[in-house]
Amino acid sequence: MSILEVKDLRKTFGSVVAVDRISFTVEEGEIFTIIGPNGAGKTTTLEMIEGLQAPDQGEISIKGMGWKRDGEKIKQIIGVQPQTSALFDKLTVYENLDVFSSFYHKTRPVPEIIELINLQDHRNKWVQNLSGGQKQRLAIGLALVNDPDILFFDEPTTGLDPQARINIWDIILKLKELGKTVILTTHYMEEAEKLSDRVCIVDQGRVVALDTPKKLIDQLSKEREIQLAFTDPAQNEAMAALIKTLPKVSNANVEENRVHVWTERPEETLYHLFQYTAENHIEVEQVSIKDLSLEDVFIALTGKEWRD
Amino acid sequence: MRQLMKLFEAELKSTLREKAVWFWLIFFPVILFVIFTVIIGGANEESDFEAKVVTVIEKPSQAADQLNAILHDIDVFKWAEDEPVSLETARELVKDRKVDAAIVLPAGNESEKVVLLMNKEKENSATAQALSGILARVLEEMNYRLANATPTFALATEYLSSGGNQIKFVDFLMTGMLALGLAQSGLFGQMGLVEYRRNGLQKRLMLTPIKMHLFGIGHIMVHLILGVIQVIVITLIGVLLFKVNLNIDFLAFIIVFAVGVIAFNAMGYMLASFSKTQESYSGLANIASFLMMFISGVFFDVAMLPDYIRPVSNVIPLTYFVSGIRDSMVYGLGVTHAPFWINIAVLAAWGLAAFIIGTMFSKRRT
Repeated sequence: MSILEVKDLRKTFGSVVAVDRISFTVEEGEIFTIIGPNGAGKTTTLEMIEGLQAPDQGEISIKGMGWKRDGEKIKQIIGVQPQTSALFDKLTVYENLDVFSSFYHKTRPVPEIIELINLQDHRNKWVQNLSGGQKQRLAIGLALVNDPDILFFDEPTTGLDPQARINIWDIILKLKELGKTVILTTHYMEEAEKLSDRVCIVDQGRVVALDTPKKLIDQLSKEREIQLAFTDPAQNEAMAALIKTLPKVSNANVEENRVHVWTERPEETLYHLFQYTAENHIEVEQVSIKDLSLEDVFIALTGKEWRD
Repeated sequence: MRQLMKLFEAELKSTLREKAVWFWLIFFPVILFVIFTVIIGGANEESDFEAKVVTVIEKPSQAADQLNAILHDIDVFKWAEDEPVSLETARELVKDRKVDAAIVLPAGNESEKVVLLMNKEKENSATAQALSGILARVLEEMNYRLANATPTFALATEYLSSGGNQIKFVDFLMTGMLALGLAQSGLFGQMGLVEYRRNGLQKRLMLTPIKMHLFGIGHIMVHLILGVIQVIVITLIGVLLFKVNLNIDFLAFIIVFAVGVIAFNAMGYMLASFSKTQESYSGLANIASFLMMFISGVFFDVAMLPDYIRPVSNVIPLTYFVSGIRDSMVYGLGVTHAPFWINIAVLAAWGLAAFIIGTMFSKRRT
């Protein structure tokens, strides 16, 4: 049985439809990411699942329980890190965790959580003196006090610097190792790709795609882009012309001192290219095959430019 | 219970670690109290009133001796010369300002007047008014007794010194300031709630199994503690610095204190529920507090207010809180005193109404 089932969820604010018949299921132990631009309805969807907002329509089932009948039970088994980190600013890291622990029947020891979120050196610091990344880690820690089965993280890395972001990713991956189910929203494609088992792309309140990151990318056109830099840039134009004649290549041109090649089979194209360069003693300085990313998936599916 | 204690602990720590709380809830009322006591208290301090006087008896007589004896029993008179002096000497003493006044006693003829000799500079002073007032009363007593043929001087003395049992102005002021301080900390003390709603902590707590009313109870408990600190600090300053006399009925005081603090917290909660930002909340709290401050008998008795303000003064909660605190702290009036229950009832009604309205508005917001 799925640990979370969401069916036909709908929420309107006045005439604005924030969430328009969203459905998905999440399996136990999965990291499930909801991704989409600002205003796509990610947070509203999450808040309905967390019981903060009542949906206008649709059903939510968490471990077979619904909010109306089993609200109190659900609260005991979920952990939430809301988008704006809200903490007792004048309390220390330890005190914050301790207060929140007291709210639950089942708890994970506070020192264990402090270790998990890597705040051992700051346990007696007031929250107001923590950095943004440390606060965010503590917010995640607060979601862990009841050792929950399902975790909801709403944009846990928004506004953090790259190092702080990586620290959070480490925590999320550790939680997956512990067997937790994590439902995550983000508007960083890279994050979704790195962490998620499955990605749900939403736009304007609707699910536009839902699958593993790899499958989503594989659905895209089969053409890949190769970039080449030659030791002698004077050869670029000649090489581009030659590459166009190689098998499977659909196009090649020169841009910014590099030769860009589009091909259906990069390995085959490169094999032929390197044969030629070896025979003719042409030195290749750099080769790269450009990865397709979720960003390309988003652009392909919505026809919109992706903006962070 | 454990949840409540943890929440209480968290709230208490958060509150006490906030410097602004110490300033507004403790130092500000104390400073206000000291300033007001020094300014108003100093000018009105009747029991500190003293006048240096001499009596003049030109022709000794029984009536003059009797009057002289009565005057010597009045506490506020300090005698430059214990024995009556001549008119000549008295004039010199007054001119040189060695004494505030010389009282010239008549020689026995009933129609003759008692003359108060004072320096011209003091013509319009409080001393002049007080002296002539006291003297007029003494003479009235004297006339009454002379008409009755059997004068009892001891009774006259008691009548005159009974002023010493009245409460002093500082007693009045201190209890008023204490009630005001407690009321203000209730009205202004809900800043945290507005902040919690703004920064999302309220939302975060709603995600946990905790009942929000526990959070409210924890909050009230913290304010009761802060109230106790205020009571202790202000009372100590009053007693040690300004020689305030207390006559406390502890049971009545504790009830008035608790009901009042909770009621004013509820009013603050209502104002907080109206406000989106801390600025608008503090604006509302300021308006509420200023409207009440001057017409609730904090600084002077409500009886001194103009007639058209009285009805307002009669409905606002601070009036009843001030009177409840004052009755139980300086008049020693207990729970058997009928106005006690009126004070409690009005405060409780305000608190309850504010709580219900506040809850209605809070619900609509979330």
